[in-house]
Formats: sequence, C-alpha cells, structure tokens
Amino acid sequence: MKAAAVFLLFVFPLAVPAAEVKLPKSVYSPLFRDPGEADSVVGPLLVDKTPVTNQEFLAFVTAFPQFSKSKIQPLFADGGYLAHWLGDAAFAKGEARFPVTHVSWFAARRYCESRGKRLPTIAEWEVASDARSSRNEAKIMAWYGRPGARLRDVGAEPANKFGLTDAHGLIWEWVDNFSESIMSGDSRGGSSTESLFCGGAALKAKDPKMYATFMRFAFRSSLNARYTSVNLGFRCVRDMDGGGE
Amino acid sequence: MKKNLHFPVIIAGIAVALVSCFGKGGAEKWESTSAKIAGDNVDIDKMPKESFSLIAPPLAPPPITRKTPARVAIEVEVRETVKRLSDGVDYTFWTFGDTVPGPMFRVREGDYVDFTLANHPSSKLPHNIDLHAVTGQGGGAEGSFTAPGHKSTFSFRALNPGLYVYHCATAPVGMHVANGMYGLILVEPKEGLPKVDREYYVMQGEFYTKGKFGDRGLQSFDMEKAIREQPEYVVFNGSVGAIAGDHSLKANVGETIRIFAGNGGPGLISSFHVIGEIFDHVYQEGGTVLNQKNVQTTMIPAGGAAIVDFKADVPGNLILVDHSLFRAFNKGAIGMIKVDGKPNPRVYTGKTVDAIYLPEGQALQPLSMEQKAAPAPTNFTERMAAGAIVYKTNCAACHQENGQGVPDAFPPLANSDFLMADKARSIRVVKDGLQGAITVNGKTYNSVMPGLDLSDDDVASVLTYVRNSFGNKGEAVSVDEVKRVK
Amino acid sequence: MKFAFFLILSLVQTSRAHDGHSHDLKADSPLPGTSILQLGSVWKNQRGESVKLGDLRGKSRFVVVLYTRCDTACPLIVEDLKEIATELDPKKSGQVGVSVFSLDSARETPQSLSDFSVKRKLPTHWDLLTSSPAAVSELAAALGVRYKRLKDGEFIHSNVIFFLNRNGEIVARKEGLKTPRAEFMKQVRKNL
Repeated sequence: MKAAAVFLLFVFPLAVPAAEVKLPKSVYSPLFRDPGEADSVVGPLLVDKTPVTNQEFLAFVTAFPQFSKSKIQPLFADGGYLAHWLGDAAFAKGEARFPVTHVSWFAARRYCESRGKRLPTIAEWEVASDARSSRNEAKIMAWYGRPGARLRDVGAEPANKFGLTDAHGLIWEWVDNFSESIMSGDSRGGSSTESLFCGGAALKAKDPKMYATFMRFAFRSSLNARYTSVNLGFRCVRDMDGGGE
Repeated sequence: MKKNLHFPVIIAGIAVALVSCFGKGGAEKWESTSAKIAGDNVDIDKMPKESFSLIAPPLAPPPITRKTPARVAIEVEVRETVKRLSDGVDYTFWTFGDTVPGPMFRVREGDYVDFTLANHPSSKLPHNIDLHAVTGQGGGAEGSFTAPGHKSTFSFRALNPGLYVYHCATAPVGMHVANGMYGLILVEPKEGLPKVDREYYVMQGEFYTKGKFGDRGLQSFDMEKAIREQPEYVVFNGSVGAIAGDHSLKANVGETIRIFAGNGGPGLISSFHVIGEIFDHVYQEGGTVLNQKNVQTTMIPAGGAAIVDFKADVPGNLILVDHSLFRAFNKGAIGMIKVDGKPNPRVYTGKTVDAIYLPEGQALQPLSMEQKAAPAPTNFTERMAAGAIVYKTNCAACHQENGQGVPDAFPPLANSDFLMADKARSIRVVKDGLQGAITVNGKTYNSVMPGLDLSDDDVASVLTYVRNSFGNKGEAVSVDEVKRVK
Repeated sequence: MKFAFFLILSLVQTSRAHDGHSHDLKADSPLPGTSILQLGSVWKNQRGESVKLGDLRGKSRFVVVLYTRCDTACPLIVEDLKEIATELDPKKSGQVGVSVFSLDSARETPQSLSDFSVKRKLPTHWDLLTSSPAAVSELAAALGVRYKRLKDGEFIHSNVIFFLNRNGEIVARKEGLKTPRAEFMKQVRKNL
C-alpha cells in the first residue's frame, strides 16, 4: 500500500461536529399523493449543512467495526458497500471531504443514530433541499446530462435558502422512509400502482414537468435497504428540543 | 392479446355480432395461436437451453434455424454514456447494450425467455424494460425495474410472433425513451421468415437538445422541446450519419434485403421510405401477415415497427428517409444502402435527355433568423475545422462527404472549376442558393440548391473548407468578404 | 375505492432466496450474514410477552407483515397463509412457526393483536407481534416490504408471505394475494 496515496485517520472521535442549519416549520406538498393525502408540516429541524463525508464515515466505522467494509453482514449492505474505499480504514487521498457514497440505508441510519440524529424523511429532505425550485430542477437535469459520478468536496457551492449545500447535482441521498416511494417499476401505472397514480394523476396534471422530482422518486422506488450506489450518500437531521422555534 | 385479457372476448363478441348481422348464423370460434402456446403446458425445465448473443445494430441477429422451442437467456446492460449525436455534437445517451437502438433480440414463437437487465453501477438512475412482445404486467417493466449497480431477471413465454419494440418505462418515461432507450425484439413465427440474402436493423428516434441542430458541444435534454414534440434531431440508429457515408449499409445487385425497421419515437410517426426502391413486401406494423406488396412508404408509429424487404435490382445508393422530409434533410433522418454491381439499363438507364428548363424563382427558405453563437475561428486551422463540421451538417447530404457530388443531380465540389473560378459567386451561392443550369467540370447540372441560413462566420468557414479540400487549393474566405456579398 | 389502497404491491425486489441449507443450527453459533434475526429488535406478542427476534431461531417459519385494523388485504393474506399451513404435512406443520408482524406501531396493542387472532380464528401457536416504529421499519427494510402510512392511519404495503429457514434466512417468498403457490410450496417443503 502506497502511503502517499492513502489517507489514514486514527483519531476518534471526530473533533468537529457537523455543521447544522435550521429548517423552520414548513409545509410539504407531495408530488405523488395517495387518496386523502394532504400537505404535511415538517420542522423545525436541524439539518446537516452538508452530506456526510468519507472522513466522518471513517470515524463511524472505526467506532462500529461491524459497519466496516470487511465486516458488514450481507443483510445490511450489498457487495458494493464502500466499494471506493481502499480498505476498512482508508480511502484515496484527496477524498476525505468527498461525500461518502456506496453506503446502505442500514449503515446510514446507524451512523445518524450514533450521532444522536436520524435520517430525514422524504418530506423533510424535499423541503430542506428546496427541491422544487426551478433552479434546483435545472441543476438536477444538468447533472443527469453528465454520466458517471464526479464527486468533489462537500460545501463547495453556495448554500440554498436554508443554508444547506450539495443537495442537488452531486449525489442522491438516503431518506428514512425511502420505501414509501411505492412507484412500481412500471412508471406508467398499472394495477399495482393505482393507489399511487390515481392520486398522482391529479397532481401531474397540475405540474407535469417536474422531471427531476420524478427521477428522484423513481430512484427511491428502485432501492432496497441494503443497496449501495456510487451516487448515493446521506446526511442526518436532528429534532429540536421541545419543538424549537 | 397482450396486457388486456378482455380484448379477445370483445373481438369475439364483435365477430359474433357481425356474423349474425349478415344472417349466416353460427358464431365462429375465436382462436389464437398465442392462447394455444399459453395453454400448452410445456415443461419449461425440460426445454433445451441457449443463451442469446448480442449483436450491435445495424446488424440483425441471424435467423433461427431450430424447429422447436428453447429456453433462451438474454442479458443486456444499461449504461448512461456520452456519445456522438452528430459531428461536433455529443449527447448523454441512456442505452441498452451501449448502442442506440439497443441490440435486436431474436427468439422463436413458443420460446421461454429468461431476461436479465443489468444496470451499470455508474448509472444515476434506475431503469427497466418493457418489451412489447411480453404478455404480462408492464411488458416486463415491473420485473426488470433495477437500481444502479444491480440486475434483475424475469421470464416470459413468447406467445405472439411479430416484430416488437422494447423500451425503458421508468419515470419520466418519455425522457428515458428520448435519451435512446429503445430497440426491437423479433419473435419469429414457427415457420420462420422467408429467406433473404441480407437483413438489417434500422430504428428511428428523435432527440430534443437544448442547442439547435448542429450546435456544437455536449448537448443536454430539453424538456420543453420534448413536450412540444419539436426535436432538433430525427435520426436513424442513434446519430446523424450512423448508417450513411462510411457506415452505409451494403448490398449487391440481385440480393434480397430485409429491413427490420422500428421507431422508438418518443413522439413522431415515421413515414419510412427508401429513395430508389420499392418495398416488395411489407409486414405492416411488424405483424406476421404479409399484408402489402409494392409499397413506396410505410408508416411506422412511435413504439411500432415494420418488416420490409426488396430486391436490389440495380446498383446505386438507396437513401433511407423519413419522408417527412425536413426531418430527413434538416434533422438527420437519412441513411444509405450502397448497392454494388452491374447497371441494368433494362431496369434503369440514368439520364438520357438533358435539356434546359427554367422554373419560376425559388424563394429562399430561411431555416431561422437567429444567429448561432459558436466561438468564431481565429486562424486557418480553426476555420478548416469549423468548416468541416458545417459542411457535414449542411452540405454533405447532397455534395457527399468526399465532395464528389452525385452524378446528374448534385455537382461535385472536388476539383471544381465552378467553385474556384469566382469567390464572390461561391459566397453568394451559399448565402442565397442557386437554381438553374450550371456547368461544372464540363458537365451540366440543373437542380436547385436552397439558400442556407448560415451565419456569416459559418459561411466563411465552410467556403474556406471546400476551397481547400477535395483537391481544391485557394485562399481562405473571411467573414468580411462574406459580409460584403449582399 | 378503498380496495385500491390495498392492491397487491408486487414490487420488484432482488430475491434473497437462498438454497435453503441451514448450515449451522446451534444457537450459540453466529447467525448467517443474511439472517433477518440479526436485527435483534424486541417485540410484544398477543399475550403481552416480549419476543426478541433472535428467539425465533431454531424453527423455520412463515412471516407476514400487516396491520390488524386493515379489513381488506390483510384478512386475505391471513386466509392464504392458513390454507398454506394446512397444505403441509400435519406431522411437520407443528414444527413450523408463523409470525405476523404489525406495521401499526401507533395503534397496535397485545389486545388488538389478540382480538384479531380470535376474529380470524388463527391457530394459537401463531405469534402476532408489535413493536416500535424503528423496529418495524428495520424489519420491513430487511424483508424488502414497502409500506406507507396514510393520514387516516391506514397503510399501503406489500403483500408478501415469506418463508424463513431455522436460521432466519429468507428461502422463499410469495407475492400478492391468492397468487399461485406451487413454486413457493416446493421451496417451503425443501426447507422444512
């Protein structure tokens, strides 16, 4: 192993806690609605400013070796888990502040738990990331136009209106209730998805052009909790004591 | 009888109604071969196994020679990848098998297919496949819905023979198809198709790019244009010139040629035509009944297909077009079959009479009044490079890639005395077009060249290029010179 | 159209079915890497007893995930499971456990589980179980069951019957309500 090419972190716990931004109480209006499903309220909430990085995740697997690349059980992650790492405690030089990817839902969830946090829900993530702004829609569409993963340091872009960065155009992010995206493989509807689409159709008529949102929901639908992907990372959130404000 | 199980019942009902209307009495029994296969209780585990070898378009997989059904394993990979859409124009295609269209699959009526879809780990999106040949939920779309870095397998029985489209059906479906996710699957009828000498696989599809046709660089998908169904590109086999020029399909005089022609769409209906030939046989809409003979243009709906064949009776270049002609000449829907062999004047003579006839004035056909904002070339080398692209995009369809033109139709630019004699005239021709008889290298041509609405910069580039290519040698043409010619 | 809520969500998931060999049945040996029982969550059954997932080791079992207030799909899936159980060799069926996990952490209690068991005439050796939302979402995730809680407290969820070997590995699954079961039963018998 060439020492020069490898970044090793022996220090634990990580000294600097992840920066958080406050998501004020907000209304989430789902793109796909099930019958009777209305807008919901999310927040107030503290949201990690950036996605979790390789370096932060390394501290986690050091403390919880059952989540290291060599020890994780197949129930909790598929064979691609931390595929880009060079070993249990090493990743390529220069990638310390890249968002960690190739992580499963189980690992992401446990990471957040270990920080006294949790994964955001779909509603929380969609609101906090300002996903429906046309600027972010455009950003995502441009991202799809470039194949493959091109990662970079987190935080290297202007923050959104809540102070978050990197929610769009860098990676996908796990959400706690990803499996609520019950879009079947056949996105044109069908017997198994009537519940999704009879509600969804009405909204679609209102807003048929949210291609980026369609894709995000299709992506979540395709996931299984043990899946990992080169483009899939996560960030955590924390409930505010006593409802905050 | 795919997807809608009530359909045969309805048809049967209509049939009964018609028969009784005509007073013949006695309802005829509804029958279908697909229902027989579905109910034949064949032991799938005992079928001979084989795996299907993928072959890239424009080649079609070879005819099936076995006479009994088999269990066929097909595996195809999905990749999101940058490829050439036109010269100087790249696009992020979403592909089956790394080609657009995806590889053609070929199975036999009654085969049992184990279909595996692998989604490359670098993909950003989940994908799936709806094979129109599949009787079952979503045509396999549900069974094949696959996250990046995973693969899915589902199995189906090929009940209905015919030529079918397959495509991705993941939301937003239109966009997945518009990015190139389609192909054809042939379910050969038990008795096979009549033997021919050559088979090719051609599929039309349109692309909605942010930039206009010919705008250089990596282009991205334009949702607004897609929703309006106004593509910048309409092409055969995934890119401008994919089956033209050096990539033309080939045949010899006397050979019979079958084309498995599909249309991925997602939006346009193709008026599929081969200039210089007549389809001897057409299986309309890819069905199994030979329902037309002697057809000039066959319609291929979006998400549909047709099987056509003909015999190449004389040598020449057969041009495949969508006969909605602006798609052919302005958006890329041109392909070519080069037929080699001896001329047969008893079938076609070439030109025998050459007289002068001057029609009414030909109006300029503006493409668009907007100027393209491409970076202006600053030296001769850049000018030549830019000119080469402008040439390929706008000129090569008629004057040919090598500048040789087409005898009796389009004059040559190669070693052209007409071109080199008068710089100002050549500028005017490119700007305003040209009609009427001219003499080039001692031969008379009498056709029409439309005025091309190129920017002054592009005019300068293309003229510099043609005046310094194909054996020509001349000075560069500057933008100022172009501007001066009114 | 309430029924529409509960239409079969025959979702696509990678089959985690294994060939079903239970390599090691000793209770103190580590669980196989794909075993659901690794989750270690604690549940309460219809008798109010605590059940750790790990306690379920040693007996192959059918597993379904539903909620007892559900009056469309869930009774059907339970009837389906009853029929399946009676199809087994009576000598062997006693050795097969049945665990019915509830999605409805908010409302399910040992009492509601017990009421359901009585109302649906479920054999007494069937365990009906409820736990925290975190335990539910983990178990559902591990099984590949997708679900969504609707505003009125109803759930949309996958209807799947799983068969786990003695080590808690999924060896067979049957998706949908009243779907053909021949293949599923073949796998079940192989793993009894």
